[in-house]
Amino acid sequence: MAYREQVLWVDGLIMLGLIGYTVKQLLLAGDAALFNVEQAYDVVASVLFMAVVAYVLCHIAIAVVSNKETEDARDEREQQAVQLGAYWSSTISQTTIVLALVQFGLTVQFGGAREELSLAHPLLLLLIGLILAELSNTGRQLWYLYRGV
Amino acid sequence: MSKCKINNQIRRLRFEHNEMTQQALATEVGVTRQTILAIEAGRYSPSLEVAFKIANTFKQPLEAVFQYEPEST
Repeated sequence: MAYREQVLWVDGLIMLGLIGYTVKQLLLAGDAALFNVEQAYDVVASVLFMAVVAYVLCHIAIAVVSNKETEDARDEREQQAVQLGAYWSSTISQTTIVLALVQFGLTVQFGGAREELSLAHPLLLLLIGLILAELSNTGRQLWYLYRGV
Repeated sequence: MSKCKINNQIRRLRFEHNEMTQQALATEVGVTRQTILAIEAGRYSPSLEVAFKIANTFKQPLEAVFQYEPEST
């Protein structure tokens, strides 16, 4: 398996692991994480920390194993895969950011009067959007590289 | 609406050129071995530049390596 395919598989697995970790953290925090900004911030910070650590360690490990290929430039097929993946992930990211901004605006406008509105929601929405965007980026690239569509 | 399929003779040509490996062809053309594999399997249509480089490696005209086959659905 090529270096870049290894990286994509590992990135995908990391993202799936992060989804599991996020769900676990949210379940552990209970309602507090959904309606309390500090609790939500703790969840987001811990997930981001785990993501950075996992990425750095895994990428170093793969680079050490296949040190020669890391220096090779992407060929045209790999560049197309990157563009397709970026298109999907940017669409998801933009949608999530717009939804988070709308949610933020609603919370600032009506948050005092309505209990179901919380600043924790846009924060968690951005986290979920980030993970889904990265997962779709990885998945789309792998699909293109293996299926060619 | 019509679909097009591009067939290729790369596998046969590699065999005829002292069983040239995919890696050797990839190095010659300047792409990865996986890209040569994808082109051979018909999962990827290369750019004109790469197509010409492949044909040039085998010292064949482009149409001897790649064949365009229109097919309507």
